[in-house]
Amino acid sequence: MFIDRGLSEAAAALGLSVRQRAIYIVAPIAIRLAIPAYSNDFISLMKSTALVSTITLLDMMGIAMTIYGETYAPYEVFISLAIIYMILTWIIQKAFGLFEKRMSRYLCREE
Amino acid sequence: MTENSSQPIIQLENVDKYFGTFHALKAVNLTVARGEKVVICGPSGSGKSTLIRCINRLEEHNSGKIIINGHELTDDVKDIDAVRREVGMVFQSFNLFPHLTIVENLMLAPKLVRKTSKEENRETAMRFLERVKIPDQADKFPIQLSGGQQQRVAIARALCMNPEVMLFDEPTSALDPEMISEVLEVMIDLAREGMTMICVTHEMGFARSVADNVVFMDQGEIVETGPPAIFFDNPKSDRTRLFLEQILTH
Repeated sequence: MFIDRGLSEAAAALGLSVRQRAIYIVAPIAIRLAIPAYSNDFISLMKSTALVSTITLLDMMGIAMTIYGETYAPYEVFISLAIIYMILTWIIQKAFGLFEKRMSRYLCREE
Repeated sequence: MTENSSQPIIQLENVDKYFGTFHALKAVNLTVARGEKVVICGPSGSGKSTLIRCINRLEEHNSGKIIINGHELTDDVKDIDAVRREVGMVFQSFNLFPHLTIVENLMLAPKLVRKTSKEENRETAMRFLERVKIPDQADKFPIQLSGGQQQRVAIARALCMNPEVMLFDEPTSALDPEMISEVLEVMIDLAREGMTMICVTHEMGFARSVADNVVFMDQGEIVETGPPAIFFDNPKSDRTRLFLEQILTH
């Protein structure tokens, strides 16, 4: 996956500066190419936040542990937590999906 | 503009170009008058594309002089910009911006380079789309158009910048046979209106009917230059004769 050199040349031949080419030609195409990989990274980053509770920072996992410490109800607390994570992941995935669709609309041959 | 109309619009003096150790252009001299149509032909690898890509600095020449409408091409960005404003280019592979609609493709450069208003740009864009006979495709994306249509859009896109000279780098080589004529028609119209044109092409029919001069290149040199009547029917050089035999027999 790369951006055709010819596009940049065509833009140069039309008189666009290096910066204008980067902003108006290369960036929009590059961002679209990067979305799928970036959305995966974003979701795994979100899930990794659970680890910070091990160093006593209070994230969702930390809060769940605190509640568990007070209630001694592991199933209820951690299953609820899992559902929250799932909903968040789902929202992020959908958001990236919409973004990708918007950025890729020039790729469909039909109207 | 009128006072220097007798002066050549493009002047190449002893232009040399190397790709590493490969000598791609060997002391090329070429003069093009305002309104002149020049067709460059020759076998592949003969330096035709390199030559016209040097004219708007997509390739840098190593020595010699290139003067376009009074601006000499140097390393100075100002000179390069000045030259690119005068010269429009059409590529073999169209190179339309895929993420922009047809009309946005035409409006982008005027907006960024000429800084004209959006309404004005749109009007210019539509005028040129009508000239290449596809105003109805204005809001589609390039991928939704046929090759011939895309190439006509590419021509219109270059024309939107009001160039003094148009360069064509094998504009019909990537097209299906039935689409070649629609692109050639647009080019012939353009030639009739008096545009200065340099075309690298294998369309010998086009060369014969439109060109004022045909330039034959081989191995980085200009071997022969002449008006089409003489060039095709009575070439001086053996290399030209051999080339013409090869392309005209099939």
